[in-house]
Amino acid sequence: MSEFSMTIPSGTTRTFPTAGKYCDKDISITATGGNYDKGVTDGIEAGKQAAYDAFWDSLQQNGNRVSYQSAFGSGWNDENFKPKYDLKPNNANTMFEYSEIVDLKGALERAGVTLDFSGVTNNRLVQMFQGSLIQNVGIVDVTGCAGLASPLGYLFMGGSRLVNIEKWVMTDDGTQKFNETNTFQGCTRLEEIRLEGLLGCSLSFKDCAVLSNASVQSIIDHLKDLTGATAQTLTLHATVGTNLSEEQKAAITAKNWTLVY
Amino acid sequence: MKTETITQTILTADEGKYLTDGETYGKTVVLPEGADTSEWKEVTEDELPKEEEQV
Repeated sequence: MSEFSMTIPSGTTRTFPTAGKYCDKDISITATGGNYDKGVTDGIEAGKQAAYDAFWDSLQQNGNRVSYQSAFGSGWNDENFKPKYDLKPNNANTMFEYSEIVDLKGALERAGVTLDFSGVTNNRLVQMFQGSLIQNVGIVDVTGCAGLASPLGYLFMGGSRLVNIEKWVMTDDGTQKFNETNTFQGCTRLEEIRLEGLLGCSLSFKDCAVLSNASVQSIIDHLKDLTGATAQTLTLHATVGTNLSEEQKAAITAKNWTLVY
Repeated sequence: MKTETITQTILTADEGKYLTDGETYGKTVVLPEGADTSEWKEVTEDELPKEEEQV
């Protein structure tokens, strides 16, 4: 007598053609109940988690990675950008250059991690969003680059799809220097930005044709009072400047700033 | 009640021209009281400062 065994998924029927060989009918075996399907599902999910852990543990060096230069460029999108560990770079040059992520802030929230730029040093925040599809950015804290002799340049340059920068954090003393012309060069779709800290150097938003009045008000509120000091210049797009109220223009010049639009 | 008097100097470029200080440019320049207006010059579009190339 021979024996055989096989596994039949729960709820399915297997038919073995035996008619004419061992008996006059085919043999049908129907499996009921059991945990086979759950076992398969659980196994697949465990495999996915193991693959996710292996990939991100390696990519983020088990949470210890700090150099993220060019880390999430072309090929990264809202579906596959799922960091396992908080990101706290000390080098964020071109970190998202040509990235296909659209909602960076949302992707980080879904992954349950944070992105903290405050540890970046030596002005290594060049063209982070250049050529990317990113529209929505959370907090960009540049206080780690305070006190440097050379201005921080190219910060948001080339971020042509940027729409919302939740918060741009500078130092509270307004001594940080930013490149006047290239910091927001090419940010043609920027609508919303809120500042924290003080801006104490000339800055141009000339390309930001759809910058909201509320955003401009935030900029005005965070201009360092330069009364008695060398005047600096705030440049806005012509349309944005035209829509300023007389009170807003007065608030700018009252702090010894020149407004250009 | 607080009363403030803000004095501004407003420079407006002629039609087809821009104002520039060599760094930035625009059609309208609003200067705080006492600011030096001499650094602002009226230029044609061809004479504007060239924008920096992307790195």
